[in-house]
Amino acid sequence: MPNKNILLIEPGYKNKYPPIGLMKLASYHGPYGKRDNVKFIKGESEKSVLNASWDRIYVTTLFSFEWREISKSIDFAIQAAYGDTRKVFVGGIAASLMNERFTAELRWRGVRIIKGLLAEAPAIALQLDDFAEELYSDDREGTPIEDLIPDYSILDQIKDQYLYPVRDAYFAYASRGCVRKCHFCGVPKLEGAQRDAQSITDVVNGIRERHGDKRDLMLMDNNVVASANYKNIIAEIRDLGFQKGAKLERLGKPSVKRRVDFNQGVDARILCKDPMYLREMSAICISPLRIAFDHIGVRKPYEAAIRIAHDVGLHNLSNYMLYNFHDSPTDLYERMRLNIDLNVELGIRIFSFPMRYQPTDRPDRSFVGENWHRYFLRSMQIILQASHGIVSGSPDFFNRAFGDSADEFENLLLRPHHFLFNRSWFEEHDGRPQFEQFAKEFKTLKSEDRSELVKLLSTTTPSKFHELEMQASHLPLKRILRHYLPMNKDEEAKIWEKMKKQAKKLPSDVESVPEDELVEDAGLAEAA
Amino acid sequence: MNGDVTKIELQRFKPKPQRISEEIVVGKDILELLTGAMYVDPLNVYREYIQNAADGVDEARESKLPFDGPADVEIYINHLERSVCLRDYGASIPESEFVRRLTAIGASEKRGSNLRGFRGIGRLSGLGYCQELVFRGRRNDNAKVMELRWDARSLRERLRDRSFSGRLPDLIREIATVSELPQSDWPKRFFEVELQRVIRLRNDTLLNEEAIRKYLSQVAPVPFDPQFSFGAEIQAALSQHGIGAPLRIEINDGKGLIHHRACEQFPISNKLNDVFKSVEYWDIKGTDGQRAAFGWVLDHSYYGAIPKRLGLGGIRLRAGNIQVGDQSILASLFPETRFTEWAVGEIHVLNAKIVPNGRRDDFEPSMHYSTLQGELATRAKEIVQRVRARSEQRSRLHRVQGFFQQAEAWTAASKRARLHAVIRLAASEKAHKALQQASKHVQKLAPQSNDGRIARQKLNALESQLPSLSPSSTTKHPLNGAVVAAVHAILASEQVPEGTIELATRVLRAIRNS
Repeated sequence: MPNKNILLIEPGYKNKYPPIGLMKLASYHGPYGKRDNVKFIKGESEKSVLNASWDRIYVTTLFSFEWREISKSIDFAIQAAYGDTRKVFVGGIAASLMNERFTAELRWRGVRIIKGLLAEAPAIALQLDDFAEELYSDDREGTPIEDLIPDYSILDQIKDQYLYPVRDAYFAYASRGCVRKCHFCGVPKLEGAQRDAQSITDVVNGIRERHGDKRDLMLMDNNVVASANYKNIIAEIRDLGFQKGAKLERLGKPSVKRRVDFNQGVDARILCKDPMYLREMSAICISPLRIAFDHIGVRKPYEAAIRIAHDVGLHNLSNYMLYNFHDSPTDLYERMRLNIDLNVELGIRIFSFPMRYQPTDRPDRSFVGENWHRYFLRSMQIILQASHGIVSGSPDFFNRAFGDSADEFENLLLRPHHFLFNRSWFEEHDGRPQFEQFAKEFKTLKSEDRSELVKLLSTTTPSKFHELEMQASHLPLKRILRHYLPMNKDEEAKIWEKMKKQAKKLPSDVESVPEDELVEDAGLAEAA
Repeated sequence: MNGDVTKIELQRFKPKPQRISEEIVVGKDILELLTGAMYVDPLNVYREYIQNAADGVDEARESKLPFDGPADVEIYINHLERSVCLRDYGASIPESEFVRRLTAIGASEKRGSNLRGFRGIGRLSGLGYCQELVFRGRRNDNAKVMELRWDARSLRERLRDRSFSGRLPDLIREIATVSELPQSDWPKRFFEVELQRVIRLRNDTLLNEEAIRKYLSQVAPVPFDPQFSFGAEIQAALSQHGIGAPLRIEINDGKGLIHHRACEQFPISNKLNDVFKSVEYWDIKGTDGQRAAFGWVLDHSYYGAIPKRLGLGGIRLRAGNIQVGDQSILASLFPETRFTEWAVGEIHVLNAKIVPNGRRDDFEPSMHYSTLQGELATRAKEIVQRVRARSEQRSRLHRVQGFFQQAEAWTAASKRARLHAVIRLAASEKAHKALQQASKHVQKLAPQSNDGRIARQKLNALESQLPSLSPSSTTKHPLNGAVVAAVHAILASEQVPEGTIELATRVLRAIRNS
């Protein structure tokens, strides 16, 4: 029954990687599969799809905090199905992590909200009802959609509208699941226990045959070093043309350096046990090597792993730093500091990417960890915004951005936000007297005053800071609160105008980080 | 010639009709008709099962069987397993009759009794919408829990299978199985029907809590919402007329009991809300002098058709306190069908000779039913008259308000300082004229209505403020009639003074200067 009309929708959020799940569904329905007509859209801007007749509509979902964008897409899909919710299928990460919440939505009754991977035969994984004789409901023995070669050609359908930062890459998994059950992570719920996935050679060759050579190899394993098959996986990667220093020659294109990226990071607690792991890793063109550093408690294995990496010649390092979970600002500062110290000592380059924790089942980003404050989180975002979410490896820049000590860091987090936004204006230019006045008053505050201050500031949004004065317990606090009143917009615009001539100084190491190495969604653009 | 001929009656030679001796065949396909073709709306399945539950609960109440649960019927929806179970705590079925009663087709023992379902077909209605239909129950805590399963999947296979030549009973034996369930924590006395692996319909209607709730709030004998202020009064009137106590039905959607559709207020459009102001009762006698029906109709402003999505509009008919047909069952009785859904009410048919048809979308045609329809038609006409009268009153009021505004505006304009006397006089005349018009319409407003009273008060107040029409100062201005006419023309061009006074002043000044 070819020639059915299939619509694939990715919600209109910003994301870094193409929707692999939809690409596999495209493969199931497309020229190498059922030979249906596959249409891919991102967001709801392409209204013409509302005039067509669709046999099936798939909506993918990613971050749970993008609930609003996701909802819009599901509503749009139902509209495109002329209200027939039976034709609409919703899957992906958010739909799996918040399955109950999606299912409870009355207006989506009849939509199939799929939890987990499409790892069984298509009709089973998609819950197709053969009793109702639904389309392809007899496909109870076919290859699981999860195992199909993703169809890259659908990305061309939206290339004028959206380009994924990472696209010239083979996307594959050497393993799935994870040996650990970290509470902050969605993987145990999504994928379960650690196991080997299909052969990456088959996937890479399949993609190459159908869609041409790709420069990079993006391996989305959650914890590849935990795989018993680790050495074979590395050997396979080498054999696929991703050995150390590998280059790709493509007709009519300049020769490019290849990269292998285990983009979910690797586990320091395993790496530190045997230098074999990183020695193996150094035989492929890994770039960057991402080692997770989730809390200061794993400092020892983390540091050991970095030293081994240095020994085996892996100098381009990057690490994810979870914050806003059980950690505190001091914990985060110490982790960042350690990287700076290691950079200096070993002459390597480690970038830190602080990643704010969000519970995996919450539809927004409003969560505040037990040792954090709403106000601190917003300050952290402002500081990170200036360097695209990256913590520079250069000690000078680091000290300026985050302070010389953990106390200094906490003081920065408590600074009025316009002082952080327009830092050089207030620290080095005409704004200085104003900032110095604040600094003088701030110095006189006792530590309990400071904690009262941050609590007060975290109770409301900046537009209501003027109401806080009444709530403050004593005069010095009342007085300092005046510095926190948001700046007049025109005044701020004038500052920007004057500061335009001052070239924006980004640390050179930060500037060199390609977009595809940045944190996928640091939420920097969003108000806390 | 006539005299010579003997008349032979040909009729005599016609063979006498005989009883049929051949075997009567009732084939398997009859089951398809009963499960697939009987009901228009899939939600009717819920009505059929609620009807059976209501009978069971009535029976238990009559036999004074003890029950103290919070709901008489529980509807449990399981989205993960795609099943729905309707459990009632009525009288249930004795173990010895369980299989016989639940496999009989069109042989209900209820006919002639007071019970609602009497044809014995409704219980199979779920078979067309799920893969397995399961009945369970027991009469008391000493009894076994019996389970009867109907396999809809194999039913469909048998129906499609040309080689299957069995008759109806053979077919039932093939697809239905009975078993005795192990004792676990079953209720002491219960009966339930479970639809397993329910097919997906548009919006998943059969597992859509909102749709089920809305449907049963219109169809089932559920209690009035405690928030609805006429609820208690209507319930008392219904009890007085022999209509039984309501059935408490709960769904596992966390929203509590299902309540009757009647509500305190309702949106007539996005901007306009209306409230029910009073209730009237219709006590309708039949040809035999007995009461044919009793019901209630709520009065409101009749601003327009009540939006369909509310599931509120229409005077509905009920038999055994369960709705027959839908919101437009009386449509043909209204002079204009569009008014059907403007009214809100419910008529309980009490005459046992007026019988719902098998599909329960209307009553079977009969002399009794048509008499009732005749009665209802005259009342429908009254409602339409009321709609018209209210509408007329509203537009009159609207016009009166317009004239009031004009009168006020012109009065104020005529009292402005430094105004040319000709203009002042013309403005005063406009004020008087507007109020005259208003007065004409006020007289037509129903005098005893609230609107009429308020309008009259306002009229009096405005009259006392009117400017005088004495042309005292005009003589000082030797202007000719043409100029006066011009001023009148300018002022006449607008219903309100805005702009015209200024324009007239400018024209007068220009004439004087020329």
